[in-house]
Amino acid sequence: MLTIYCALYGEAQEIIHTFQLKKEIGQTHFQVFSDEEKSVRLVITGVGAIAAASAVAEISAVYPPGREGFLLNFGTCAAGGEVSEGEIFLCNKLTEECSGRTFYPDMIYRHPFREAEAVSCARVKTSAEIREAGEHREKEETDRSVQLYDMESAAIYQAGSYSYGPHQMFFLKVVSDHGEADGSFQKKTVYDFRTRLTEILKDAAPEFCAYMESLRNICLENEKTGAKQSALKKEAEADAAVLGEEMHCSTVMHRELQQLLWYWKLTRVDYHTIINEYRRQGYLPAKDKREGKKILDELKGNLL
Amino acid sequence: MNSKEICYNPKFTHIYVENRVYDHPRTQEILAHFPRAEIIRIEHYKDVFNRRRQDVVTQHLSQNLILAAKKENYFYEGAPVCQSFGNENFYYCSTMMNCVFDCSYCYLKGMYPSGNLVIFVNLEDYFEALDEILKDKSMYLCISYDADLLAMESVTGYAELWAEFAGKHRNLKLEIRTKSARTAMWEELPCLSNVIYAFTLAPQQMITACERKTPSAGARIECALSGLSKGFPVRLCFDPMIYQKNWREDYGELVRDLDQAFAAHGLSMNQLTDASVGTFRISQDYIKKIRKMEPVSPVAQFPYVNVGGVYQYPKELIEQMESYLIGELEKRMDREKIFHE
Repeated sequence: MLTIYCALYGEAQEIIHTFQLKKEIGQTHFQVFSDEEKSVRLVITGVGAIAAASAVAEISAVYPPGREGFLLNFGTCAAGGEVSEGEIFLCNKLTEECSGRTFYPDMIYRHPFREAEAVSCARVKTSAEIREAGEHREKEETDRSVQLYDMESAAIYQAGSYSYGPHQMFFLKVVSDHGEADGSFQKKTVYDFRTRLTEILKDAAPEFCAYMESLRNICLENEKTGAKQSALKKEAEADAAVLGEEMHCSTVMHRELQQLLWYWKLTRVDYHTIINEYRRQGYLPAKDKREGKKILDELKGNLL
Repeated sequence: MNSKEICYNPKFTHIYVENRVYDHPRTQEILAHFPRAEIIRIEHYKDVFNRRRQDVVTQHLSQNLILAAKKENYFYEGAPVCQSFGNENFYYCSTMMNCVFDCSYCYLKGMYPSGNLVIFVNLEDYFEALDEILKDKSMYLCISYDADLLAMESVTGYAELWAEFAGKHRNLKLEIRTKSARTAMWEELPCLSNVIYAFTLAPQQMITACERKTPSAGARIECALSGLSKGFPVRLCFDPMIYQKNWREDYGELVRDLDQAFAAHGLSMNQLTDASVGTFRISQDYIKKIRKMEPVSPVAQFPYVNVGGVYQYPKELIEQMESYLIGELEKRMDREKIFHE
């Protein structure tokens, strides 16, 4: 399943609409939306690191993602003046401003966006601060990568890493502004900003929703493969359980038998015919563990 | 539609560079090979390489580079499961970690937490340390164990630099092991008696089943013999031998292919420096990790026997496989040139 974490409902609106998500009636502390197939789940975390980390921790515990699940953090962010509003970035580096720690999600899948580093801050940055940070970076580093400013991504990575690997986490950001003008919003400014944000996200929605769709498809594909493998493994384990009883296997013998049957399953050896022959000749069920061990050794000898 | 097939990034689209080596000339030379790559600056390679819960198999599908500096422990004593070919002072070193190839049985998958490839750019520090060691003793050094140096030669030029270093130190013998097959390298590398090029060979059936992204058996043989005909010391490594149902026929076919290739080049197998034979064996810690990563790989899931912490085939199978191949090789080259565990 693809689980999307957004800080604000306003950031999630277009996704809810595109994927036709319905609100879940659940026991968690957060608003959760999902589709009928349960292939996409969207969580509204609230603003800031603690809210985001709490949401990831709780939702991952309630709905464990497994090996095939993906986590996507989607939201708006600020950037330096050289970046236009509405541009979408996939983050390849996340820095937690307060600790200076950095995190690197894997960049395994193709995507159509520019890449950037996201710096997660405890509060909204002013445009003056963003400008100053940009000048400072140019002096220190020769690369020209874009730096974005948000409040959640580093926390989401850290909380997510208890349940997800770096190849399962994605951080997609839409630039909404270049920092607060004077460090505090006036009422009218807030209203204007919300309206502008809605417009920006509506314009960008086809692009970021198409990307989310592709992530969902990869998840579904991985889940299908995983389900096939686990069904095959369960068959071999069930056969080993029956045969183990018949052979009076100890724990170690049982483990060896399981490994042997799994190998045979993978190499398409028809072990049922071999085992049924033992049954037909009356060697199975074995009299005792000693006889069982003898049969196990003979079965292993079939490899030669 | 299989979405996985169309959506992986090609390899080396992202290159992580330690800040301390960003201005190193070798870093800039390597980066010049990838003008469109995304460069991500990092403090220390372990910040990327040692992350928790990485999926080595998935990372191999879209492998990235990490450029770093190694600061200590340049040389390690050869492991007991590795063949020393009768040499004293057997050591190995890692100027790269991980391999561009993707063999399902590879111990590197059990050893490293990441599938990404690290290149240590400070080769001069290795040479300086080795200069000191060689003042006191000779050394047999394998430089391509934890990576395939020749497979990356067009990007790094490391094999050439190592060979030049060996050319100045007669008490140093190098082994460069590879599964690559780039015949153009013989025009670039110096031909020296103390630099042995060791080609790992396997039947094509085994390559197809277990050695993803590697050159074919025919290409490897052709490359090895092309070097041998130019006078380069060449070793053939039939190690690891992997059990498959028709292993005898498969290895028989490989030997016949070798016969044909040697005849076509007008060479004899006795002109080889030597050959090694060894069935697959691996430490129990590594195979446990590999089995989790490669749940449907027969070579990873084989019911091996644990002998003192090393997983290997049952004794009878080892004897059958090794004696068969040694017997075939003995018909073609002197017995003392064939090494096995």
